[in-house]
Amino acid sequence: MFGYAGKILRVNLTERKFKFEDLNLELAKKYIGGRGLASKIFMDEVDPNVEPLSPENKLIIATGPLTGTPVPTGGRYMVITKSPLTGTIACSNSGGYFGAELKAAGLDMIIFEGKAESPVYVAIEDDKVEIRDASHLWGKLVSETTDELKKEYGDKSKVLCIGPAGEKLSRIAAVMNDYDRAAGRSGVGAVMGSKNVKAIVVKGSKGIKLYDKEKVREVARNKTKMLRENGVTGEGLPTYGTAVLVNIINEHGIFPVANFQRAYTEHADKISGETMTREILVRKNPCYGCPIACGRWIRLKDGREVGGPEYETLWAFGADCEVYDINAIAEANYWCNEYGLDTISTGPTIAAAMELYEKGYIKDDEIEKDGYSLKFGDAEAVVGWVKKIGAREGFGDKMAEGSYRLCESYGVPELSMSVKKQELPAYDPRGAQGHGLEYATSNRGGCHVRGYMISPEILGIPQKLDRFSLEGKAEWVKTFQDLTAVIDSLGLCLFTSFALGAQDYVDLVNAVCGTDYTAETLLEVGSRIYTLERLFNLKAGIDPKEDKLPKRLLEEPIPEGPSKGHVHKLSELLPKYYDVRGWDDNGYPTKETLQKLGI
Amino acid sequence: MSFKKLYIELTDKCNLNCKMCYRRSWAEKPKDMEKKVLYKINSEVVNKKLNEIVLGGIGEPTYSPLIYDAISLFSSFNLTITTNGTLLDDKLKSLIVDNVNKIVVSIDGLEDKYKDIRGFNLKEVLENLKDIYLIKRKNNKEYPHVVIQFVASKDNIEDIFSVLDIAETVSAYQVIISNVIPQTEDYKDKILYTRYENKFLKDLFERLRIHSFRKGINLTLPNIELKTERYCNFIEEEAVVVGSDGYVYPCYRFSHTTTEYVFGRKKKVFKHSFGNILEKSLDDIYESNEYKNFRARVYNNRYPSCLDCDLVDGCDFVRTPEYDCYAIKPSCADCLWSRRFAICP
Repeated sequence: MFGYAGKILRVNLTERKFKFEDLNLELAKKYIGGRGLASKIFMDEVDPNVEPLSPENKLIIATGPLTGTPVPTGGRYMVITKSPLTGTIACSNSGGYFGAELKAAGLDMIIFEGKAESPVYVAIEDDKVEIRDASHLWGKLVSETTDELKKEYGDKSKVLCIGPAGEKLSRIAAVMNDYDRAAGRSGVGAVMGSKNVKAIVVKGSKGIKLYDKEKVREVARNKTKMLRENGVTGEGLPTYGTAVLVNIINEHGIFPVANFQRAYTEHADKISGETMTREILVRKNPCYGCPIACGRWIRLKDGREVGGPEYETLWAFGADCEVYDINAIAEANYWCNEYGLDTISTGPTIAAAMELYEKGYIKDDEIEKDGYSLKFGDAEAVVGWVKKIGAREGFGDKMAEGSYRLCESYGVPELSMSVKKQELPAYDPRGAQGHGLEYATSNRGGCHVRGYMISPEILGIPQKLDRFSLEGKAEWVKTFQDLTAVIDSLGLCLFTSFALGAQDYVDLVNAVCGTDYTAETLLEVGSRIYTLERLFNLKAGIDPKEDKLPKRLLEEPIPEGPSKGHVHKLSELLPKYYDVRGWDDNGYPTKETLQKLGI
Repeated sequence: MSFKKLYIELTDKCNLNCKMCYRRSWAEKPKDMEKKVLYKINSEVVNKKLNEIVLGGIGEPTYSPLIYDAISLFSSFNLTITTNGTLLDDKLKSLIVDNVNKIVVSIDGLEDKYKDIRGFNLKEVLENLKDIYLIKRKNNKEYPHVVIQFVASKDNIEDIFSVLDIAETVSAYQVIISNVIPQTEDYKDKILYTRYENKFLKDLFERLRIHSFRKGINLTLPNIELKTERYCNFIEEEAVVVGSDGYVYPCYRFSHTTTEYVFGRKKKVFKHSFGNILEKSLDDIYESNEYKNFRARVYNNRYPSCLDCDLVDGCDFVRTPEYDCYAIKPSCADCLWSRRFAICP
């Protein structure tokens, strides 16, 4: 077996038992690994109608066949479960070093079942597995938990854990690893919390077998060169991090401001990658085996050096809340990492609360005791609310449910800028039609990294598309979604796709695993994974009518800036998208499509 | 094992006489490729799986009488043309849209600077590129991708942002910035790259990079400071160059006898061939021991580095690449391409 470790660890928390199972290689070929294979296993084992925070839900931590190998960016792992935020299947993806270490310990996946009676953590040292009491860790912040476990298991050990937000079942809680990396989206941290699992600590010394070492060396070298020579992966991301996008997206007039009420601000540069680099950057903060190193290590105002904010985070606590104070955003980001919160959901939930307050739905007396305002632009309040949400204190308890449930509780769910109850990220789709279609059809709800259409629509990669045009967008979205499913499942970083195409991933996986994929068959696997996730959602009762965007984005034209006057034309794009996917007019995959994909 | 990329120089003549052109320091008389050479090449590669064929070289391929034959012969390959874009008539434009995957066009500045450097009107070149875009649209074709190449020097650096804007107007797929490798005395001080820290270009290129993201243009930038890493694209991509004289060369630099100025230091470069295609097959030439050894040396970096050697100002070896101090012939120790100062399509 090459690339794969060949073993799955199944942990029954209720019975506090575990066992090793062999990886089904035939199934792995069909679904690659990571997101794809774990979704297949999840779907086979879990009733789609399961209550996400009940013991009957399962939580899978999965690596891909390229995780932990010498190929560039091979450090990813994924968390697959049913989301308590969206009710859809969730796959949250993270970098850092945990994934590679898990693989080095000889595991492709960990499947958690049931619920521990009291808080536990799982310690893995190669074949030695222990389910241990975590009562001393419960309630601790992410860095405290990580420090404590590293003290016990040594600095080489890698720690994945939840913070207080996950323990308190916040629907926007993340699974954290390596201090500041997050499998952020869809509330996967709450599922881990619901199972009373605080952390996993892992140390591995087993190698990964490569099918053709010489070929892997050659291909890895070649792809690394492509990454280094590409403008985005070789210069933009290394120099400024993902924050390079702040000014660019703003200048296209699709940088959402004040809960998507506007889409352009003249203050963007105050929170841009250029400003961050100049004012608070200490160094780069790379993930395992990555030549891009988009991660940032920054200095907070009080002198502490911590993981820095991504583009999405700069926007979420920045323009979306009308806060243009880079220090405050960096601090909000820091507290999200400590409490284990998804920044892309947390910022927009605060922004939605600010709009609710602005429009008079939230009254002063509801937030008086918390001591923080809900006025757009209040930087100190944004930092304060993050801590309140993380601890589920005061009004923060309500916000910990995410923006949809918050707005719904005031009778105005339409003020939540979300799709399938998950907050939209930092691009206003009214000025990027393909990207909007991607939001509406993402299998885990509002998300930009299921098929990053900003790449062709704004950055011109692999080629420039007219961002306002609808022509060809359905086909592009499908291809991007399928390719993304492949990249995730391989255990690579999506950012590689700025420089690499389908054939490059074929070269990598075939060299490592000895498989015989072609670009066509690999993309077909992507389509299979995407359709399988869709089937889960349909069975879970997520109606295709939920393939929609917030009313504001469909009906209210962008009021100012370079995309002024545009709305999103989803109804014109969706039928074509269903058609391209081989789904019927109502958004259900046809029998022929399922047969063709072998589902 | 065989080569995977083939550069064909249909002619080393050109209708222009650009200020920074390699041809300026040539002693030899320019010539067109003979038809029998072109057809010999074709007979040898027709059944091969090549990654790319480039109709280029130092001359202007569209100035060659063989351009139509060549495009037709190699239309089933991933075909690239590097051109100055001045000679594209309607027939040629249609042929290019039908058969070529990539067209690389040199644009070194705005109207005035372009005219000064190339002695030709930029407007006409842009019209040609717009026509290609329109034919593509009319025929619903994705290819050819248009790539703009800009050779940067002190002469034209102020136009560099505007060239990106121009690239946007012709829907260019990519812009490649290369550095000038001076061929004449009056150009030797016009280089912008440096041995050590280069704050000017670093800042400029950072701003240019952001500008390219704003425009959604895929921008390739050269190195601006001397880096330890060496990387010969010709060797890495397993490429061969067939010159207009039918001889097989390892790279552009060794395809003509010329003069170059390496950080101001004059150097004579002699062409170095591994055989003539009319005498031996391309495969035999590529697999000859001499050529294989050459590739292995370069691939494994087993050659000296003149660019940062303390003896460079006195050493006789650096005056030509005939031999270097490792007794290697031909020597790549002074090559500015392998340092990625200059970039070839």
